[in-house]
Amino acid sequence: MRGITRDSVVEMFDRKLIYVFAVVTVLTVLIVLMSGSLDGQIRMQTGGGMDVDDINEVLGDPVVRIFEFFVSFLVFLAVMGTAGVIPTMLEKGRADYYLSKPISRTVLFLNKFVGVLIVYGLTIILCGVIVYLSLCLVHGIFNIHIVYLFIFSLLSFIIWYSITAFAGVVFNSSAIAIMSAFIIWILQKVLGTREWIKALVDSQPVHYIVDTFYYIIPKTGEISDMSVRMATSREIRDWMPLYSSLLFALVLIYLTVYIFKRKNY
Amino acid sequence: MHVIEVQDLTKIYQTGLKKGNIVALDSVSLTVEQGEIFGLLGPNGAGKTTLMKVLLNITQISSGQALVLGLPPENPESRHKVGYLPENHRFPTHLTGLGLLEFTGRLYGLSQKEIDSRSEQLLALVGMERWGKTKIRKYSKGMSQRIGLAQTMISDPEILLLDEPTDGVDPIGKIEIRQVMEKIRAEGKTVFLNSHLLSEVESVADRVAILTRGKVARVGSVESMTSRQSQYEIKAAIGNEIFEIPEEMGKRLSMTTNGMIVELSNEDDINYIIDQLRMRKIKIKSIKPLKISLEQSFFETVTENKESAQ
Repeated sequence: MRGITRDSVVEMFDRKLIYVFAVVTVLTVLIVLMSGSLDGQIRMQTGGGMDVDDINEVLGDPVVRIFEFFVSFLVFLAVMGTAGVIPTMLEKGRADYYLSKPISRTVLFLNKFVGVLIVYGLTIILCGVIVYLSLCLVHGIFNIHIVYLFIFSLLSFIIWYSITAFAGVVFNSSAIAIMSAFIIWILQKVLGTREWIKALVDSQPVHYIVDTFYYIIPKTGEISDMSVRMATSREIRDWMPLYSSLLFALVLIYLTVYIFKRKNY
Repeated sequence: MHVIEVQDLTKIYQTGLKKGNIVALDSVSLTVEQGEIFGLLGPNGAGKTTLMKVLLNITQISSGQALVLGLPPENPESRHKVGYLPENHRFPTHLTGLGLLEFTGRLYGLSQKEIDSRSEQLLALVGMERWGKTKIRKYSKGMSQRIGLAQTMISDPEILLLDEPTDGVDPIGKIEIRQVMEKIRAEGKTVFLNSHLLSEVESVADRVAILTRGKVARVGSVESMTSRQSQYEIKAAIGNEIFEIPEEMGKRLSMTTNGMIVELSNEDDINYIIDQLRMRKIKIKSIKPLKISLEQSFFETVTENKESAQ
């Protein structure tokens, strides 16, 4: 069913969000170019006694964090831009067109899902590579581990997209899909402070509820932190946030297909 | 051969707890034969669109059975040889007319070669050759209907399900769409037509079903729907002569100096009337079974059903 995937690609270009990505990338590259040669300044300040590896060590962490922020912003744009894809496909009059064709709903949904992932995945990677190359060329910082930022940001996008797609199928509304992502984002921020909440409320059932929600709700913030650790060659002590978040996305995709197959349009 | 078979089909929409359930289709049974144009009529909310959607599995069956080309609607293969033009459709607006035909062709599993050759033919058939490369979002309502009709035929389907195909189309376009339907029928294919325009259905359909409140109120040929059973309009120079019909045979409904309208209990009794007129040396100009319009038949059926429901 390459037709649906290909159509998703055409649709994404038509949504013009790709151009927003291009503008953000160009602006970022311009900022990088205007910031001048950091490695030169460092060399000057240290009397020219640092080699490339030393400079990488000094600048590595902040640059990775700035780069991670840039990629996260692209993911945010992608989540906002794709929240309407499924509700648009299922709006009155259009759903009839798609569903009357000789393809199963599972195939239809998954192809649409994959099509969007391909477009935004490749766009995020392309924008990231452009910004990374400008950083390398201007500042002389070369860090191959930065590729982890791409991988983890794509996984984050899959997680967020599974949430908006689920809400899109259940409620047929782009606004509710965006709101759902926002609610989950707030929840994960709140649950990120669970130790503090547990210290504040001395109640075993509350602790239990907070912990349960923490393990269920995806943890993209922690996934971002993990990607920064990987990009700066630091050890990751606990992979649970990544595994549990991906499991959440998989269960949500399964549930979305289940509901989609049974829904009347 | 039945291309569509529906047996005791019921569709109940479950709404909110307080609102209760809505019975959209209530034990509907009908068959559609290969090579006919079958018209589905009914007032708003009668269940016409729901029936089409059930046949395509866009809406799922609550109980009963439906078969499209011998397959249940849940099987995607049942839609392989079916083209559908939805009412109030919204085709993907990022596509051009040609793009829509290509995309639709891909959804049917056609090769690029098949798509290319059919697209050109279909654009010409619906009079859209000049607009194939224009984005659908720029199309007028009539143009959208035309391209919609073209996409229904991209896979060379055996059945076309058309929901209000002439909606928003100008009079010439309506005639052209009717000609397309007749052409499809001539190729031995089937058209399942849902339309509010009764005159359109009357002029093109072979058989019709009237749905009211989710039930089939009447089904039959257009001929049977529009002819008044055993009513005849007799044109003859009767003048002021009194012409009575024996009570057991029927009754005279109206009479003028130019003729009369009679209703007979037995169709053969028309011969008695002819004999009587000849005996009296009254010149007979014409005798024809009385016909009503499909609109009138539809109105009577719907009214009868409304009254019996009350």
